[in-house]
Amino acid sequence: MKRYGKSSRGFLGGLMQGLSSKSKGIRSGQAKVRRNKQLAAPRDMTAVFNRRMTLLGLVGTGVGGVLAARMTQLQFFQEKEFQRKAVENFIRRELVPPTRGEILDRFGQPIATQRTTWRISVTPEQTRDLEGTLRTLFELAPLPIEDEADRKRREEELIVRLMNRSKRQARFIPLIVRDDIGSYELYVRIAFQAPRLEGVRAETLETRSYPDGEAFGHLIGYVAKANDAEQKKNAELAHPSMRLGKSGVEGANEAWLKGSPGEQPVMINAKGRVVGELTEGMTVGPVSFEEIVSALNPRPVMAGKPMVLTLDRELQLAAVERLRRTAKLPEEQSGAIVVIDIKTGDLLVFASDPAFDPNLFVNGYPSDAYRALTQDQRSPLFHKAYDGLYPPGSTFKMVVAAAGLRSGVIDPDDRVFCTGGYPFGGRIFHCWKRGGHGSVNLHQAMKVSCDTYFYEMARRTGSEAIAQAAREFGLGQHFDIGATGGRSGVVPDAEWKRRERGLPWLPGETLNFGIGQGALLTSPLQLAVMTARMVGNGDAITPKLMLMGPNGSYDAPTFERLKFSDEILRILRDAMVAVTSEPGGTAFANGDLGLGGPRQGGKTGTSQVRRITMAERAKGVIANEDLPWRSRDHALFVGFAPADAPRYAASVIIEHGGGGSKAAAPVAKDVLAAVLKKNPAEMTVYRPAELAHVHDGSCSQGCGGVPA
Amino acid sequence: MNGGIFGLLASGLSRLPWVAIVLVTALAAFGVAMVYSSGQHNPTTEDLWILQGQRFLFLLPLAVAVALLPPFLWRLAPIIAWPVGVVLLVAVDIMGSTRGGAESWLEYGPLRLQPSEVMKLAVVLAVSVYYAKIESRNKDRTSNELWHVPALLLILIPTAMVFNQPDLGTGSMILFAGVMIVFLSGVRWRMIIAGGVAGLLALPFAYFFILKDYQQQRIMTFIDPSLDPLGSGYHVQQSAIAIGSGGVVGKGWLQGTQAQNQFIPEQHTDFIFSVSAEEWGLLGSLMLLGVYMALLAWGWGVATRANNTFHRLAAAGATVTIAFYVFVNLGMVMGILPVVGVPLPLVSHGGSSMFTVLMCFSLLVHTHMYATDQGR
Repeated sequence: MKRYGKSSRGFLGGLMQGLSSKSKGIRSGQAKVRRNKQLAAPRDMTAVFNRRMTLLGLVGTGVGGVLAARMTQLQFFQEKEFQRKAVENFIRRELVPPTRGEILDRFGQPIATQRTTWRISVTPEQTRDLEGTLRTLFELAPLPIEDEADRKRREEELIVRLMNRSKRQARFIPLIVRDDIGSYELYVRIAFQAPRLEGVRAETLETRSYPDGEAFGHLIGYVAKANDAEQKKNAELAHPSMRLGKSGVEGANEAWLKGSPGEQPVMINAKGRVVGELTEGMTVGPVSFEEIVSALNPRPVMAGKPMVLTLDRELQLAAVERLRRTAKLPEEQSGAIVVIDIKTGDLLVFASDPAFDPNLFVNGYPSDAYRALTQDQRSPLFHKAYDGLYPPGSTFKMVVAAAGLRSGVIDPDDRVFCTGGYPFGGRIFHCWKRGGHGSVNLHQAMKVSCDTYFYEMARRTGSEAIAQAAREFGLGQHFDIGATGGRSGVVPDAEWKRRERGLPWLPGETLNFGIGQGALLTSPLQLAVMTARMVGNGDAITPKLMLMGPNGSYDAPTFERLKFSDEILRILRDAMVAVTSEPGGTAFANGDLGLGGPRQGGKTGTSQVRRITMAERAKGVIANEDLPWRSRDHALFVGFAPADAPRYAASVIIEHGGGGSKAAAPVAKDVLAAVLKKNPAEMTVYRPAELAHVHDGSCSQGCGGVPA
Repeated sequence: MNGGIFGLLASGLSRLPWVAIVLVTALAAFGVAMVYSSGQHNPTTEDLWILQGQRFLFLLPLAVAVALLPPFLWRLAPIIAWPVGVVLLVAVDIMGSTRGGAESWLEYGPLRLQPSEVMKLAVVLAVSVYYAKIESRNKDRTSNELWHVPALLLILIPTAMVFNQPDLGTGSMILFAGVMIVFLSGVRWRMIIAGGVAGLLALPFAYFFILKDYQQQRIMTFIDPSLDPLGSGYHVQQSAIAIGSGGVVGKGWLQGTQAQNQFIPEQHTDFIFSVSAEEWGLLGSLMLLGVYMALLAWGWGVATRANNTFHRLAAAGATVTIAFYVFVNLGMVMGILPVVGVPLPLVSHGGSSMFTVLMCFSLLVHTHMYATDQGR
């Protein structure tokens, strides 16, 4: 108290004095009583002042004490609780998207993989002239559009859209200008300029990539941004880098491929802006990184699992390339081909063309390109090999033969005399050959694909037995190969007709059934399976797409046995070899694979797209080539190779390609030649070494990147 | 040692209350540091610490200089300042500009004046001068209770006008300091009790008819913070998190996660104690409180040692005003009082409060120099 000078009356001194004057106060209280009796002397106002100052001093000290107590309560006793709350305040878990599992072919070649792309973003609050910055960016990195005027227009649209978005959202949220800059050079150009461009950030990220684009489009499908409904179910999908498998293999195996997103603690400020990353060894005030991590318990990122398919990428590309050489006009090229390993059921080629480019779905399909897809007469969005259903036509004749032979109603030597038509039920069922084939037995009828013979045999066998055989060969059945889609088609019988149409089966329908027309519908996959079962060793093989995946295995599969004798299967196979190898066979020209020996066997088919009216028939049927494309017949071929020891089976459909012998058989020949030349079934398949090649994904896209 | 003018100056300087000046300077320096820290990541407040420092460096010498003016000028001041202040309050009501919800600023070109701020000291001085005058005529100024009525009018007229702006903090402060002087003037306890009862009875009336909606809401939020977790309750909650998470030793200067990430509302002004508590911890908080208590004790000492009624009452009023600032601010920041918008003297950023507090300080220095033994 000395610092207050000579006086002994410092603060405490004053208090003491005040307290003593308080005792005087009692006396002055007595004085008050006296004064009330008009006897009072004037009060000592200084004493009153001092007493009351003492009182105020005490009250003030008390308030100070209360404040000190409150400080102690908050900062000592509740320290831990508030520290936890403070950490909760400024730490957020930021989503780290996982690396999606790669999809590889049977030899480890990538079908779907990750590609590093570059993202350019602008943070509005960090730039003074947002529009100018955007324009400069488009000058440095123009949109990849050839046409100058079109590009300019699109860039202007994008600028307007970005400007509008910047008005709707917080100014610290970066606007993504380009998400897909694939060229490193371009990225370097922008990254080099970025410091001079205000608020511009260039960062790398992983994008799903399909190196072969359209070749695998239908089967593999694609990933895309989740739609609103999906985001509502799983909020993580709202992250700009998160993608969701939408169709095909990508769509059906989301759980296997996607992995699980991790979290990374980041510091945010009161407005939610990320102000920094938290890294190991860092402390925030008194809180260490370890404490934050243990409090948040962020999930580690788990990369998706890789998937190995049975496909042979090289052969698939060759098949697609071959499919594109089937028609004179590019806008009339449309078809599908499936090649299957007869012993294992491994799908080696599964092609459907034309297709979409799955890469374009990843960042949103450009709307005019998408519109072009939907307007294309060849339905490029349609997976013809899996979802396409066609009347099998004459490729179905083996099934009829097999059913008849099994029932004993057909003897291979039974002959039928074909005059070009088969009168039945008051009308004539025509053979494709107007003049007729003359007398044919089973072998010859198959070779020349005589319809009359099969009208007769179908009538003898009956629809129930044919339908039963068809099912046993794999028709009318959905094969789940681990991709979205796939259709079971229709194997009609009396019960089916009653159920679906409410009508009784007509005898004439059995005849149409016998040549693979009518209500019968099959997919190219089913036809390939059918062929493989017919020419194999009697196993009812099933198609297999995955060596490694949710429904895949490297182990040799075991199959049920077909309920057809080896003798019946031999008769069918011999007849199919005759088709390509004996003079007069409908695909005689397409037997030799050009490999100096091995031949293919097979069966042609033509499936009618339109109904030929009696009037038309009377006038003379118009040549197929003279019809509009969409009205022409589909060309089919099912084949196998080598002819003497079948290992690979194939089915080909060329939509509106005309006759199977002319349009489809050469495709099967070329593709089977390529397959046989490589002979992938005898090569060692790829096995990932304990997932060693899987990226750990610890810093895939999003690290230090854009706030979620 | 009559060394002429220099000797006089030296002896005058040596008589200044240096301890108090050091305390005030320490508070202001600390304030500059905290304003600096609170503006680190906010472009709109990042340079305010410079302004704050400049203001203090200008206002402190001014305060000391004004303190050395002779007592008659100090006694004269309220006679001019009070009526002028009332007129300005009327003027503000008619043409003032609204800042922060209250019509309290009077602007004329670059000049900006807050009459309510001036009224704080004007009322203290006016009431003190009034009682001193009464006493010079009548030894016992409480001989007749009616003598208090003019004093109450001197207080209540500006109080009512400031409440009307509405500025709850400043109004309460004028009322509180004035009433404390009346109390110290020796008003009878029975009158105090009667006044207290009347005041309590008037509270519900005041709550419903005088307070604006947002003020009512602040009080309701104070009673139950969960009523408005994102509004004014959010402020108090974030403030408590900042203070509590500072712990015993604090997170370090510029290291407060609450302050640096802008979680504390008004963190460079009313809630600057939250920044301080977070970054300096309980030790810093207690030290800051200690410095304020020491300054208040000094003011208390000056008032008790003053040798005449005017200086006694005025010094007490100045001390009470500063105490009101400190206690109400700390109370509201720590969640034991509703948020009424009272800054922490000398530490919070803001010219008006610094001006008022330093003028109160000036009055105390003046009293120290002219009306106590130390000053001679």
